[in-house]
Amino acid sequence: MFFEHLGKNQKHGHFAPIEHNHTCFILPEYIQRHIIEKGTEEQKRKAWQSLILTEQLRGRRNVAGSLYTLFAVADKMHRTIFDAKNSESLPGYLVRSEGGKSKGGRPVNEAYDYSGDTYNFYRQVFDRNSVDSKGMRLDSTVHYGEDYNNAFWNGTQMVYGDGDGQVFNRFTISLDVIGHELTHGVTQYEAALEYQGQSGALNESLSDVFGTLVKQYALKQTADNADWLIGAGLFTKKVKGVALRSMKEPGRAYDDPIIGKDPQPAHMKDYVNTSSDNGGVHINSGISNHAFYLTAIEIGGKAWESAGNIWYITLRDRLRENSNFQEMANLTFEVAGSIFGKDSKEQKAVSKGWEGVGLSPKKKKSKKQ
Amino acid sequence: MKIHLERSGGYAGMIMSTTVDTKTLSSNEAKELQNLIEKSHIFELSSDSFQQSSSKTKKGAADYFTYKITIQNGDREHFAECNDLNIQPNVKRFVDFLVKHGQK
Repeated sequence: MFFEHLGKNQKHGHFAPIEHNHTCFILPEYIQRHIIEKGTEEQKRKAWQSLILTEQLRGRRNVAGSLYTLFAVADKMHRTIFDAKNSESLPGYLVRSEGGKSKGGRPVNEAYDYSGDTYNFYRQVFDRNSVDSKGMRLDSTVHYGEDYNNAFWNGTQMVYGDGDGQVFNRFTISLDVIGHELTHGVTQYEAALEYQGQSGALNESLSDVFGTLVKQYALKQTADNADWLIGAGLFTKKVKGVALRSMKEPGRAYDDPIIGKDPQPAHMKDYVNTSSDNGGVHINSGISNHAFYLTAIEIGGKAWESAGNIWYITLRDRLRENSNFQEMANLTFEVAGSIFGKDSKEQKAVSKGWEGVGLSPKKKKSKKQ
Repeated sequence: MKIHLERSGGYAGMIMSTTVDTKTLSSNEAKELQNLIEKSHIFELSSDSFQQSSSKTKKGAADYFTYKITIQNGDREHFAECNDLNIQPNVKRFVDFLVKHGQK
């Protein structure tokens, strides 16, 4: 099928992968797949764009998700970075794929490098092969929207804005942001915590926990010399603040005349009831974030080996869609006992961590254990 | 006519809200806003239809912005809610105008 005219007439840049003066033919899917796996960088790029265009012509607005399953690569990391060119259409233009040369500027390369760090963290620490544990592609789109002050996980890929340059820098700037977004994918494939109220706050907190552990692992930091900040570097120098959130001191990450004060509580007595932000999922996550911090500090050493391991097993095997803070406290206590032993230092630390935020793990009676 | 926008959620979790009163806009801005409202077809969409659209947000998605829009015109009030994942391009252009106005 020949459709050069689309490339000439299409006014929406994000929709037309065909470069000017180029002719594009739709190849059978199996051939495109082969090219994507075996071709040169340029061939891969064109095959990808051809597939995307095919899907868009079939009427799909955002098509990346439908293509993931075709190209899941077993047992090795596979990253793909797209450029939305300041549009809001996903995934955008392919600019870098696994093993490809560094190009496209800092957001492209940060998205590539930091998603690699996140993959390696999950693989090496928890023997997890990507987001779905089956080698799912790690796809990212950078330069999303205009002055877009956000990063999000859309259920199939990561999306990063450039920031407005006034309050926010680019959202690829911080390793833990990328660890945070990919962990939303892990949660989606495991506990599938509902994104509302306490289960939503747990969802957010788990992303902060593993986001910061990705950073600590990359920097080889122990719990007591880590900064426990979420999104350090995201604020421009104009903002009075060190980061977006602090797991060590929720509520004290920023205090600025323009953007206000960090609203996170550190204790259940300060739990915020609100209808905004899916019931305050980014606000009340401060409570469970702080419980993790207290636990990790109490145990000491490398947080991913102890507290991180307890939280990961709880996420993978025990949490359910509607789990709340109290259930998280109970389950992490049980898991700590299973991994490290009843009344172990680690299990006592979990108990102390949750008590520090106003939640005491309820211990199951021995006959149920 | 008064239009209130609340944008919440996002990775940062910051809540931004702004109210635009068409009386305070320049004639060009008011004209632009009226044009954006018409093209958004926001009055033709009930809040129910937005909620149905919202429920189609892919499970597992996170950190997207949520937009709540309330339009007051005399005794009439219209409410709509959408997010980054389900917002229509014409509604987004309307929202962008309100965000821009709020940052002035």
